[in-house]
Amino acid sequence: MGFYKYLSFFLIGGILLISCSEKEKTITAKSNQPIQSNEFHRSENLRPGQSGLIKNNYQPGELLIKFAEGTEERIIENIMKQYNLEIINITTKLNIYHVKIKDDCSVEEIIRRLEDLEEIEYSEPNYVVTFQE
Amino acid sequence: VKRRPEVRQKYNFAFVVTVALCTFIIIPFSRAGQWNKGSISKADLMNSNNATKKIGYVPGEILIKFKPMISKTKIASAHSVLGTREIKRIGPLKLSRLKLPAGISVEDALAQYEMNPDVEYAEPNYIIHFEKTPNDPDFDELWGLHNTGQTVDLITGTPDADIDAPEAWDITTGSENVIIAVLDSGVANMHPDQINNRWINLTELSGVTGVDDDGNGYIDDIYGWDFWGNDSNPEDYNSHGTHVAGTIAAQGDNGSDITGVNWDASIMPVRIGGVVGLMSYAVEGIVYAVENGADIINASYGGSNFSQSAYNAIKYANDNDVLFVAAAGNSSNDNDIDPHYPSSYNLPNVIAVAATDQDDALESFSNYGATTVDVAAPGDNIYSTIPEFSYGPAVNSYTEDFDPFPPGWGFSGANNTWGFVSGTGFGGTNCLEDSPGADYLNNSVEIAQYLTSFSSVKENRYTLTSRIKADIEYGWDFLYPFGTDGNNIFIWENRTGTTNGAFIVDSFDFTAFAEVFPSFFYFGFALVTDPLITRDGVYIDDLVLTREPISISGYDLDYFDGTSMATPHVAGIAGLVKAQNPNYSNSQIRDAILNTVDKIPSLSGKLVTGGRVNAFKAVTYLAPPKNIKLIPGDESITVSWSANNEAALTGYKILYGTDSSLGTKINIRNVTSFTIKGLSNGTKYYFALRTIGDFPFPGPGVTEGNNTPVVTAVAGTPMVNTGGGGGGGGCFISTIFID
Repeated sequence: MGFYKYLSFFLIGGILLISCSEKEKTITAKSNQPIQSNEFHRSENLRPGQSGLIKNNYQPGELLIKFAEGTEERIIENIMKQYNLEIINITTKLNIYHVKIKDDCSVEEIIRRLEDLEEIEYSEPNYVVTFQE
Repeated sequence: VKRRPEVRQKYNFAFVVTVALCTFIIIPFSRAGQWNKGSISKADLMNSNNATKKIGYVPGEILIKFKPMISKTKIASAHSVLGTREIKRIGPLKLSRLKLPAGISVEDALAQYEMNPDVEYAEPNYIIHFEKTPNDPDFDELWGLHNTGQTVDLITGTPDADIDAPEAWDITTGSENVIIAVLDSGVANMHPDQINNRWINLTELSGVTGVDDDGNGYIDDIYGWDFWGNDSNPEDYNSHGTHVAGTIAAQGDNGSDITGVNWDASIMPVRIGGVVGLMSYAVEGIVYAVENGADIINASYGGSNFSQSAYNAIKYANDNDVLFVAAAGNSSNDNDIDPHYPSSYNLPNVIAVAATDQDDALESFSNYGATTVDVAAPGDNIYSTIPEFSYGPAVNSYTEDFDPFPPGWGFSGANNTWGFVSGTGFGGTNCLEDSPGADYLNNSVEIAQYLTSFSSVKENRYTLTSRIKADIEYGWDFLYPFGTDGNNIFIWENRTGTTNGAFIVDSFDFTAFAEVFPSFFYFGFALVTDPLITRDGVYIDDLVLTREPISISGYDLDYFDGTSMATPHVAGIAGLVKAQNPNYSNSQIRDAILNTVDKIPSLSGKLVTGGRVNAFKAVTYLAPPKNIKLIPGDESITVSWSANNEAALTGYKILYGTDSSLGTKINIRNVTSFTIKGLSNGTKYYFALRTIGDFPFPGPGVTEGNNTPVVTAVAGTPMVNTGGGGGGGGCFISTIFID
């Protein structure tokens, strides 16, 4: 049973990783050409008459993850590997992992995929907070 | 925060004259012979000190001094005439504080003792409110602490629309033992008015540089930690955190600048951002503050996103008895409908704070919420400490004159017509142009972006300069120079055309962000147009992006507005309450603040408490005893309760009777159970308790807390409705007296 669970997790992770990698290939920007890239600003956020920080949401390429209680170290390592994540920092008292997405997969996409895993208690963007309060 | 551009008055010398030093004047004892029965000469007393504003005396008490060499027997016999009882003896003065029996007035008692030849003098036990005023020269700017209706930064307020700080300072001015963490943009704690109130990690201070001497995971964290820069220097290159920290505890009564709500405290800077902050740093920062001994966390930051990680971190603070005071937000929003975090987390240690102005009205910008925002505090026109900055030397990060057409630019977006041209823009040289050779298109959202990102070097300021020539439809079409990290976008400025359609020849010089983007950013230009009217477009040339290191060149003070500024008033009061009651838990501090607000009609229905915080009432709060149990016995009922731990606590008052008017009152000492005897078996008795405290300057309404809810039991009936257990049967008859 445990073996199949692990196997299915591995397969899902593997398949999704491939689709994310394909997306990565399409975003090679060429000089002075119309481009599609994660780095390029998504113009749909722009409206006439704006200024200041318009979309102030989360840090691109980063996540906060909490693994389910008792998740083994090797499973965590495997998830990091499968989803191409790298640990920036662990807040050990709360068991919260601050991680970096090493490829061009979007934060939303990774969260959507991690949500399906039993080993993940939750994952969320690394939100921006402002001091203009 | 909203910064005010007005000229500030750093030192208002005219005011220095009017600030009375805190003079601790003891009112001279009146001689027995000079005492006139029934007339308390307030005028005489008022003349003795113009800082002594409120004068009265404690009912049921007098002070008395007998002549030398009077025997104890004679003194006892003098007391027996009226049945007075000595409750305190001030040895060096040979002065006794006497409690009078019920029904004997202060005037009558004084008259009685006056007739006794052995008495040197007798007088009422005067209540003296000194309302300690610190000698800080800019104290009069701090309307939030003490509002006399004075004009602050051209705005005049309403007297007493403040937190009653001077009154609270009669009780406590704070303590360096209270640690208040400021989760913010850092704190410039070398500010001369703050340097003495820094939290100091003594283990690291006396340890080895480069070694984590205290093993807390952070090397050399002597004065806090910078999670943003991942170093041991939580310096403030924003001003926000310094201003917040100054309101909590700029050093008081030191003859310079201002004072915080606390004259003394230990401020622990925890830097979670620069221009903006990140949730990951807030989470780590909260845990750091908790692990390193903070009693209170000030969170003058926020956003609209619920973060489970932040929730868990604040819950961790609660579980470790750390109070979390959070700004309600500045978007005139009802947080009951649209939550604002962290102030809206439904956790027992969170106090959410709205902002009031100099007239005790809710600020127009302040968020509110009948179930989600607890209290209001002064948050407009708040004068506090800031650092001054200097910049440079400048480093050119990117220069481009478009000669020849450069690689590395991308053009994109709806109806994109960006391109490079030669000769048409700025006399003969190449430039970047929207719509070469034609007008731009309607309904366009088009972007020209340099496709190489720049690393955000922290503690640096970025400036973009360029020449620009533009003809854009006035008021409807816009050019945006922007920075982006692909998710967030920062628009330096929106620029439209002229009404007459002429070209504007101008230049950009935008210094708008130092660290809006925590890791990296791109820059570019966007042209956004509406469905009608097109014009020639935009020419851009001679682009320069520079970076300048920011350094702190001095220290100053300034006026800021915001719930960010209201929050440290509350965190500051929490600090005073903790200083007064070191054994208080975070929930007791929270209760003391929330249960003692000054109710303000206009705040009713907008805040949980419907009021603005009051420091004096919070530090003199005496919580009603909890967990009251009644254990009936034969012709008796034993009352027991949980111990209170106010520092000022001297005992309790039990009020009871055969109906809810609770006709009998008994004062008892600091015990947690008491048996009332002589009751009638089969009769139902009603009980309530209140806490009694002895503050330095006692007075009616200050020395006794509020009643508990009424509870009942029938005497002679064993074990009815008591919840069982409890310390039954304690006999403390010798400690009681009838009030």
